[in-house]
Amino acid sequence: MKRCLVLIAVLVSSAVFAAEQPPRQVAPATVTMQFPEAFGEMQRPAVEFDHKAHTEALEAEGCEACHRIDDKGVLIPLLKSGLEIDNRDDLIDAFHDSCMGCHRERLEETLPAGPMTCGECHVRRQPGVSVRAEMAFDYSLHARHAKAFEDKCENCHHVYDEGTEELKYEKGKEEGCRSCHGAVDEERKLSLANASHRACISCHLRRIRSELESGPMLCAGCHDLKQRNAIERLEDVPRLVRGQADTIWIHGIDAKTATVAFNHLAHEPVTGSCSTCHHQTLKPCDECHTFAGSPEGAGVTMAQAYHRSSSEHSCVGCHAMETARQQCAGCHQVTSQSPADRTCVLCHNGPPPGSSALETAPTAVDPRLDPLPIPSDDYPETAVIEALVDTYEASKLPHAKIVGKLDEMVRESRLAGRFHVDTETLCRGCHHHSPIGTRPPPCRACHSEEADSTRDFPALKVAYHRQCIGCHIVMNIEKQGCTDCHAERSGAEEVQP
Amino acid sequence: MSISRRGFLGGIGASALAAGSVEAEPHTEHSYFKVPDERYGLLHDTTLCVGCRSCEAGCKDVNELPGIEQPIGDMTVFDRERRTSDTELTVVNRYRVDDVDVFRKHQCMHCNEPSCASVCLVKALVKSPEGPVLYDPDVCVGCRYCMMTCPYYALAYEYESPNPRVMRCTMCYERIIEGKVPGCAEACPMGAITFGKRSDLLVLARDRIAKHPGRYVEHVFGEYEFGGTSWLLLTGTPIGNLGLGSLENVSHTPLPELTKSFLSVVPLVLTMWPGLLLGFYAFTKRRNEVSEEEARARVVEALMQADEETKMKLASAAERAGNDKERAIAQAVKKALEEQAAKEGSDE
Amino acid sequence: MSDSAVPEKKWITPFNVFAVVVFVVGLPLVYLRWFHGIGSVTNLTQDVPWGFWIGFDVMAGVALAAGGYVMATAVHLFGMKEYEPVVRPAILTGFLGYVLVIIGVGFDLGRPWNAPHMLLQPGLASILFLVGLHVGLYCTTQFVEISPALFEWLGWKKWRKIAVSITLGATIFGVILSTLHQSALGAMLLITPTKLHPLWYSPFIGLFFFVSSIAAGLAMVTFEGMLSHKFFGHRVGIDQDRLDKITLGLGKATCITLGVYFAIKVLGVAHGHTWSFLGTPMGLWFLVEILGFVLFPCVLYLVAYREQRPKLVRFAAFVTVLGIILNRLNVSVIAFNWQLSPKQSYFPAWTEFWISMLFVTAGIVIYRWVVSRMPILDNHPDYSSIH
Repeated sequence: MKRCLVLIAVLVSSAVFAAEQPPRQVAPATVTMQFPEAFGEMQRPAVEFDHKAHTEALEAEGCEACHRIDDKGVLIPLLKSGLEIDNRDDLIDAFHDSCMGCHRERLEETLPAGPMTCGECHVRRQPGVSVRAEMAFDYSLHARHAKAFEDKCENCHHVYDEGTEELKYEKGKEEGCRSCHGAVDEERKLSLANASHRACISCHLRRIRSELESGPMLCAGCHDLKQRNAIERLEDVPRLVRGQADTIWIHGIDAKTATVAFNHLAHEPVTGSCSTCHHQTLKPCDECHTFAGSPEGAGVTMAQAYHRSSSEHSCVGCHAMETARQQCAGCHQVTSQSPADRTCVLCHNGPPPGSSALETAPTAVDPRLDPLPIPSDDYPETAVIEALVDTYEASKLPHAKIVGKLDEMVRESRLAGRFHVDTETLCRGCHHHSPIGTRPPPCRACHSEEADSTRDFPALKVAYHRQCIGCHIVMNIEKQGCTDCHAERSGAEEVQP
Repeated sequence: MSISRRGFLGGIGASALAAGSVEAEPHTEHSYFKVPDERYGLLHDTTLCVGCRSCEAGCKDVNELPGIEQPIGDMTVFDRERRTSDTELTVVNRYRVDDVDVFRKHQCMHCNEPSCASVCLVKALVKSPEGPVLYDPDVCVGCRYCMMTCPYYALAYEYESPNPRVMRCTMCYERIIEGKVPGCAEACPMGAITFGKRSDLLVLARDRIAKHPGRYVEHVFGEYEFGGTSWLLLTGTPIGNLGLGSLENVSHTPLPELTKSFLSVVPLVLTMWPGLLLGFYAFTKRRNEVSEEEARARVVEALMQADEETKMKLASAAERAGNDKERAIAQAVKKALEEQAAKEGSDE
Repeated sequence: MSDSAVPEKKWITPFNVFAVVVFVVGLPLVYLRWFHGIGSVTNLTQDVPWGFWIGFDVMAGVALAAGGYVMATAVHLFGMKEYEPVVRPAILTGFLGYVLVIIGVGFDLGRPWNAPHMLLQPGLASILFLVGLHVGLYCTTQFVEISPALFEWLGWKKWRKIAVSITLGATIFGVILSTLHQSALGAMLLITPTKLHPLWYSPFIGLFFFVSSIAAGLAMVTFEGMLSHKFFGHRVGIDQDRLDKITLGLGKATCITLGVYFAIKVLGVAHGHTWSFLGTPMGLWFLVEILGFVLFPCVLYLVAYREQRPKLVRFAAFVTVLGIILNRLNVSVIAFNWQLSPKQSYFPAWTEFWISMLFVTAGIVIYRWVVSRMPILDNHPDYSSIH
């Protein structure tokens, strides 16, 4: 009997430990030491190296305890012993010698040290979820760095000269790091992580040691979401000048349609950084996204690059995302999903390809919007909707007020103004699927009171409510309840208390 | 025990009768897959639902139930997830998904192969050819097995009544056979509920998904789940986020199928068990008889052996007795002769 | 407790006082239930339509009343004559148990007067129909099996002869019915895969219920054998030694049954690939059920049999009975609807417990009445050769 009790106790306690736990978060400063795939499967789980713990423990010794600073003053972000070893066993030995060697030394000096046994570093854990935030440069951060370097771009920017096999600076060819540095090391071309760590941290370290104002040196300073968002931002960010024109004609090589006048200057303030549009390189879009598509452009053709509505890098895509804003969503999200066909000419209104007019840059033009009409029979101040009066009184729609508000919001946005040149566009949000003219048809002209069960077409009551309430919801307008729009009829059948 | 042949046959006859009468293998009792899809259904588009609860009011109106306790427009009603009750045949609940409020109406789903109808032992719940699952309170015994099995928790009971009924959405059967539309569908101002033929609604649902890419999850819930339901759902988020987590990715096999494996065992037991058990009895009886016979044989043998021994004892006793007698006679003769001799001697 | 002045029949015994209290409090509850609805005496909700009455009165009750068919099979079909003294008490318990189950079901049903519709328009696909029909038939069969004792007491020789002659047929019929409805009670849950916890839900659930019913029956016979001897000692026709021998034999059988039951439960987990659930709180509860209340008594029985300790057998029987009740409550109430939030979950009202207690107390009272008069625990002088 006693044996049974022991067995039960063991089972119960092991089950308690095996009980489901919430997913494990891996801190930004924890480096999972994953060996290259070429080295095959490892016997033990990857070590999760707590960099933060080590920097805190070795504060006195500084970074040089593990890293080395080369003759150019660059902090090499790899274990000083582990660099350039391409042999699996040698690499393992190198790490073991470094880590356990250091721990052993410290233990001999009776200092607090890390583990010495296999299982304490190679801990078998549930897969964790990394909370490391990606670091990105925006205009503000770039401007602050530019100021610190007194606009001397060569301090950070370089290109690789194939001939001399060296890095050098070329004015006018400055790019974002991502244009060359990819996800993994490729022989001498370092990964983005390695390259940026070497460039950024070395410099920050130098400045900190010289007691100058500097960026973060520890992992969390850039990769912890809260700390990253707390980085100081400039109020007025100066324009990032790299020789770009204010306005240009977009005329892709081999493109057939009329060219597009593009106001580059106007677009700069609405992006966070150049890479919002120039997502890979600062070269013009059609250099990689050729007419028929190319490997450099990942097969994305020129037309797709400019027009794909699901991509934030394309013109149409970004504009579509803007229509999801609260001020725009009522018409754009509820009624129409895709741009109407007639909007092509709003952009493609430049000279045809090959024209000599393309040699002069286009003139920037501010949107000029017609004023709204004066209220009349055709454009009523208030529209009384008397159809379907039953439980509620007729609804008094403040027609002119609504259109006036829409007009006000359009005028506030340069983008909206560019596309809403015609006041008719304001009508089309509600008076959809029909020509506008001087007096658009009323809802009941198409939506009958009786439901048409042969097709997916709302009856009049549904049409009214879906249109109005749908718009109010996405625009966060408070009037969403029944009596907000139509008063209850006294003496009507009591449906609710 | 001793039983007469008559009694034995009577007992077996009774069990055979039971076997015949309880032949309960259901041959697709409630399977309507072969019926042409003229059945009605309803499509609920949760992306259109705004939580106005006009459907609840409409339902109560049509079914003459007591009015809603919390008025339409009072959003605090959504603070807790409600379920259907004996006075609320349908409820709308609010779910917070990615910082957006999503509403969903819940009620009996009028399954194609309803588990409630399958488990009702008095056939109070039946699937009608028109689509709705109908309930007859006049035959209902109130066992509430239907409530146990409903995977949607859609049925409710009048626990406070001494004459209780199961309360559930009826798909307004009386209205739809008159060509009218269920109360909820008529009341909904947003058109989030569409009534029509189930097959048409499936086409409509797929059309909507195609026309509005990104708006819907590309799945019509209720098309196949547990054999399919008459209420179909279009959602913008997986249904697990809308309170139907236990129904996500369930099998397409109708629930009543799960009982068929057991029910098919019933006639097997009824036919095999009598023979099997009689067999046990017969073996036992035979074994008892055999052991009794062996016992009897041993007794006879023992008796016989005893018999032999007795005879021998008697014989030797007789012999001894015989010997004793001879000696006694010899002694007596000798004595007599000695006496005689003594007497003659004294005379001389 | 003051003793009455009457030396022969003591009316004021602890049990009698208890029974009176149960009835006095219980009868108003009965009134409430019938005139104010089930909700007035239960905590049942729309999410939880089956509660303690179904879990305990019906499911556990039917399982624990299985002693009737188990002992009848052992004695009449397998010819184990040494257990004959416990057959009649087992069948009486079985019969009374089923009567109480039927009454209990009657209380739980919302409209029990509609029950004849079960025969007029049966839902043949419903396993509950099977249960209902069989419980009714089986109750009748058990009555037939116990009727010889009744007729002996009444002195109706001809009726007794008829009743005895159909005992074999009735026994076989009873075993068939029991096999089906014991397993059917479990199979009722087959149609609820989303509601019953995966560790308990298995396509073999019918088999689990059937095998555990055998263990339940054996354990109950052991248990009540001990109780009868203690409280009705004056009527028991066998001495303590004989009872002990029977107890040990029953213990051996229960040991094997529990061992088999444990093995098939583990098979059920393997078949369903539900090992990962064992680390969850419900998984721990499952382990408590099968380790603490199946494997543990199995081991106890083994030890008791090897060391020939009847007292330990009785204790093991008690644990087994608890285990059966636990299993039935798990399947119907605890592991069923396990995904409901704490706010939605159910716990029986005291009135539910009380009414169940009322049924059990009534059963004991009737049992006591029957056993004190009829030749259940002992033989009728005219028929001593039979027992």
